[in-house]
Amino acid sequence: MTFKLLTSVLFLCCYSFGVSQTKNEQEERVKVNEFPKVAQEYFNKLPNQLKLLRFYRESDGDKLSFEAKFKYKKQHYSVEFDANGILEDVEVLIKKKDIPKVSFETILKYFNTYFDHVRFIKIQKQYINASHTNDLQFINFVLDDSINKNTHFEIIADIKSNGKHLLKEFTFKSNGEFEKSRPVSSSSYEYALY
Amino acid sequence: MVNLKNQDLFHHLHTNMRYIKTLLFLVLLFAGLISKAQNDFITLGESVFGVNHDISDTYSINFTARSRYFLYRDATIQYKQQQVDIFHFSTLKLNYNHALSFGVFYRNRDVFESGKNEIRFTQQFNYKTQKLGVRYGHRFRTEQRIIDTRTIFRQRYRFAIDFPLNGQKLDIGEAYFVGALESLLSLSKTSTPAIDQRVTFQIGWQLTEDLKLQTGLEYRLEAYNIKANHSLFVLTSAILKI
Repeated sequence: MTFKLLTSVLFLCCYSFGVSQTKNEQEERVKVNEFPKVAQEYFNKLPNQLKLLRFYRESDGDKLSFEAKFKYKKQHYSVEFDANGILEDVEVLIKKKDIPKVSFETILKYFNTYFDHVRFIKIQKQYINASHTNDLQFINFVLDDSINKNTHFEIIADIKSNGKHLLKEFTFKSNGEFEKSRPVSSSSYEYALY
Repeated sequence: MVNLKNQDLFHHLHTNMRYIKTLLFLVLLFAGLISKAQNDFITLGESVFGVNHDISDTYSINFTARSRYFLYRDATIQYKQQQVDIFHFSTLKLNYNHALSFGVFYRNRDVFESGKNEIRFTQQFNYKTQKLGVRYGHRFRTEQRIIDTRTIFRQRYRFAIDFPLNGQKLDIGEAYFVGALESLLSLSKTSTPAIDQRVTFQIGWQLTEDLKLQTGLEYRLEAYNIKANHSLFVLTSAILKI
């Protein structure tokens, strides 16, 4: 009886892993040696005071990317690389009040124009390397002093328009000018609720 | 192909190992509590099957059947059904992280000759926040428990955290942890106010997009302001989304 139950549970598990594989969308924590070689070395050369340093691999369809997350000078950083270890961006978690007043007003004006209501869920400063410096130099440049160097603001917000709620990710230039947006699946934000 | 799947399975099992160790530690911790509580201590099992359905973006309904049985009582291991519960919740999503719910609940103890039946009405307000992959939930409940001609007014507050056990996003096939602390205050005309405390640890698996299984332990300290009753619940549940 117990054996039967165990096998059926095991079968269910295998089945579910099979499903997760066909869907091919997964984010998981990985060890440093599973990280792209080039990017691995950066973390030996960065300041020693990186706290809670963790590595993640994310696959979404054909796209594979890597992310390193850590805390430095009381701020939460997320550094994203592509499959080859080329830097995509650096992000820092911030609060609403950390957005400069002028930029924030421009951002609010955008939301007020297009939506009935907005509630910010997550705000990040985004740094994209547009200069000629290499990736390591750029990461160091951001870590050195992250204030006012960001190229963008990335905001995940719960917006309401025509009576419907929707979770979206918005990208604004550092001056507050709207650049792009995409829907975020709320399922990744809602799991164990019962 | 089959081989590949197996590798994937083992990989998951491996990464979940240290969480299993943590769980083992918690079980031992509970075992410690049990041995301390001794004679009046009881252990019950609770199995839940729940179905959730979204009617619209803002309105969802839940139907749940729950069975509760004694596993350990009067210092002996036993299996005896205590009750069956059936309930319904209607949830109104106010926005992304606030929700209001209303519930009706029916408990049958009569058929098992273990006590009186109960009808219960519940009003609930839920607030949740999320930071760095961990979700924090605050749940406020007021309940009117009607047992025969008596009505007990129970107020509850639950603080819960949950997070995926691998990475910061819960993918299909992955496990998650749920921990909760709940305080309850029961008021009625005929008896003195009673305060309860509950602590819950659960591990869940998001097996498919629509099905999750959860199992864990709940420790209940009942009426500890009068004469404390201790009990341990072994929880198992299956939650289906249709």
